[in-house]
Amino acid sequence: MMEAGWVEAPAVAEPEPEPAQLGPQVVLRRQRRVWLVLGGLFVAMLLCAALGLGLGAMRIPLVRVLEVLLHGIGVQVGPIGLEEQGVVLSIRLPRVLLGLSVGAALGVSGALMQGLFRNPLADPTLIGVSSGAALGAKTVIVLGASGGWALSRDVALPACAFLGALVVTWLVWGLARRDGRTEVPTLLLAGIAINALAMSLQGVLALLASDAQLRTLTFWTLGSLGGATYDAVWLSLPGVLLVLLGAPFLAGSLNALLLGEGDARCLGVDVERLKRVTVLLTALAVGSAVAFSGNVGFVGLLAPHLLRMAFGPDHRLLLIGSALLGAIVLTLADLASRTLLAPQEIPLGILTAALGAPFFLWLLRRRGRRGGF
Amino acid sequence: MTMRQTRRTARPWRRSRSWLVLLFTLVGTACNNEPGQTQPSAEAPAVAVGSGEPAPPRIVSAGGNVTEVLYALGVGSALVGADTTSTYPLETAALPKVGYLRRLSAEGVVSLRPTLFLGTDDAEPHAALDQLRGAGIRVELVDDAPGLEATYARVLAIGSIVGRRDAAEALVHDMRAAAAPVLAGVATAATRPSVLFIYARGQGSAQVAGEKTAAQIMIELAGGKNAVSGFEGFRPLTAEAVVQAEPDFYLMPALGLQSLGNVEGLLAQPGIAQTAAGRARRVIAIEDSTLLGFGPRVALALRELAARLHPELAPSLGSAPAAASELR
Repeated sequence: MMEAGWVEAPAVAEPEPEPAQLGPQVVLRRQRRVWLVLGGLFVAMLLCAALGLGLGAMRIPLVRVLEVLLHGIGVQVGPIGLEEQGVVLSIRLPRVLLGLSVGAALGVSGALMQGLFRNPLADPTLIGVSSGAALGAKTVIVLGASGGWALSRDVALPACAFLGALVVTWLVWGLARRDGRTEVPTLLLAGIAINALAMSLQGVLALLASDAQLRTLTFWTLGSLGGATYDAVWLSLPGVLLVLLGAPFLAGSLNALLLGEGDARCLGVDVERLKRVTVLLTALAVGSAVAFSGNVGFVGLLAPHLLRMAFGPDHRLLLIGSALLGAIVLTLADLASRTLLAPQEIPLGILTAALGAPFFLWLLRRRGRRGGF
Repeated sequence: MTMRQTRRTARPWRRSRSWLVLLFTLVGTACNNEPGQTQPSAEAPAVAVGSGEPAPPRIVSAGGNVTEVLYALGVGSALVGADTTSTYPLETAALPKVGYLRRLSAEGVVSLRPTLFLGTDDAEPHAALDQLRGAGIRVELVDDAPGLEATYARVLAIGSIVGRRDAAEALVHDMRAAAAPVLAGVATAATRPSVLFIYARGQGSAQVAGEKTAAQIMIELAGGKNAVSGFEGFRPLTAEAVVQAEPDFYLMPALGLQSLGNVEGLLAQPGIAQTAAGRARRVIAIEDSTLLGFGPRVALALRELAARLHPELAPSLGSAPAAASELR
């Protein structure tokens, strides 16, 4: 097959035996397992969010945090200090919410990309969405100061990052498309070429940047949730939620795609539509997320892999599970970023990679030679 | 490699437990690191601010020149935190750091329980500043414009904000007195040597300063002229541009010169060795925050720079033994 040319041994494994061959009890057990795992991850995510609200550079007893939250929704519990209220409601809460949103977006898009490319190395950077966002953001950082932008930088930066993500993805998609079909290897190669182009443009911007701008560029590349506001949360969340609602509908088709494009087509999957929707959802999710967080590496790779290693490649579990696990990883990484060196912050991307990579490698070694994608 | 679904699903929870364990380890680490980071409010600074004001402020400052002015006004002991660009005077090293000026941590600042956040208008993210205001902290930003008059205005503004207007006026008076002989001296200079300002942070990052930069303003105040023109801000250093500019002097912040490997390293940059100024090693290095900070030491940098550009005027530019030691 043509798509077998670029990746050594693409997954030929069958994700789930056909339900018809199994007894109803087995099917039921698997269904239940999916719900069990997703439920467990959801609870873990809530716990992590609670931790994120409870801990920080400022020491506030958990009881006080609860009181402030209750006060925030209108329950009178006694006097609340302006300081505590400010920290919990206007610093930590939007930050935790944005972290959940960004983490979920990166996790689910990682799972979508790995499913589409049937390659364990795939992540959203492949279709240009990350470099597009970076290009948009960096253009504002470097040229926005002198260009006399009508909008303030706080608005222009996420807007341009989001637009950059969509435009570059659209470009990659358009270049890979021929006669109404999109060959996956062509998509990959077009993505690599466009990524290289975007990198060179980012290089030009880095050359033009002043010292202060250069530092801002570096920080953007490493990612942070430091600028989290409710505005950012409300702007990022709809796109991410839309993707989370849409992704489960692709699970069956992506499972079939694991067999190969031809077989998937035989099983009745509209493969072209699947590609189109997957790329669109990924661009939407990642664009909505990184516009506010900057580039945060490794979450999109880590979350789907951990789940695949633990529970197998069933996309019914993998897509939403990766979103939940991504949200967990990002919330914890952000918690570490603002507490380890407090009152300073460590850029988020440093922590997601520094904490994620060794764990990932350990899992990889422990798993030995068994399994694969 | 073919994957065997049946084997993978045999012990799903055993595998999943391992990452759960790690998850909780991570959480535990975060918890353990949390206590002890904040400062008890017991050690409030005992500095009397203004005339008979009751509670001394607790200040977090952002911006090297703002911090320096606060120390020069005698309110350094009211500082409970500063950003990472605050490196002068040496006392700043002991202050908790709240991150880089443009990447401040809102909760980090709040955790120091300041009553006043005082920064330049470069302070970011703006959302963090709003969050500080929301937490009941007075947020004051001063103009970061370069130039002597802008510097004096900044000192006075900071003085008003911290209730030290008198001290600020005295400081500005001293600063004017220190700058006056330099300005008067260079006004009599017969020549205006051309100076190429090079900014560098490590190999391969060298840039030259164009118009509307703090560097150009310093060069002109010291009786020189910028060797390059026609663009605003900074441009990458290229060999041909350097040769074409043919400056009389190279000017660099001391740390920048160090990062290139001192004068030898600068001469190794493309084009520099081909210029007369390069061959004669006419390289002026002045400590970074003195040269570009536009803070209390601006006159020292001016005198140093003017004395190098106009050696014949050096005796008339005013003497300052203290200045020389501070520049070192």
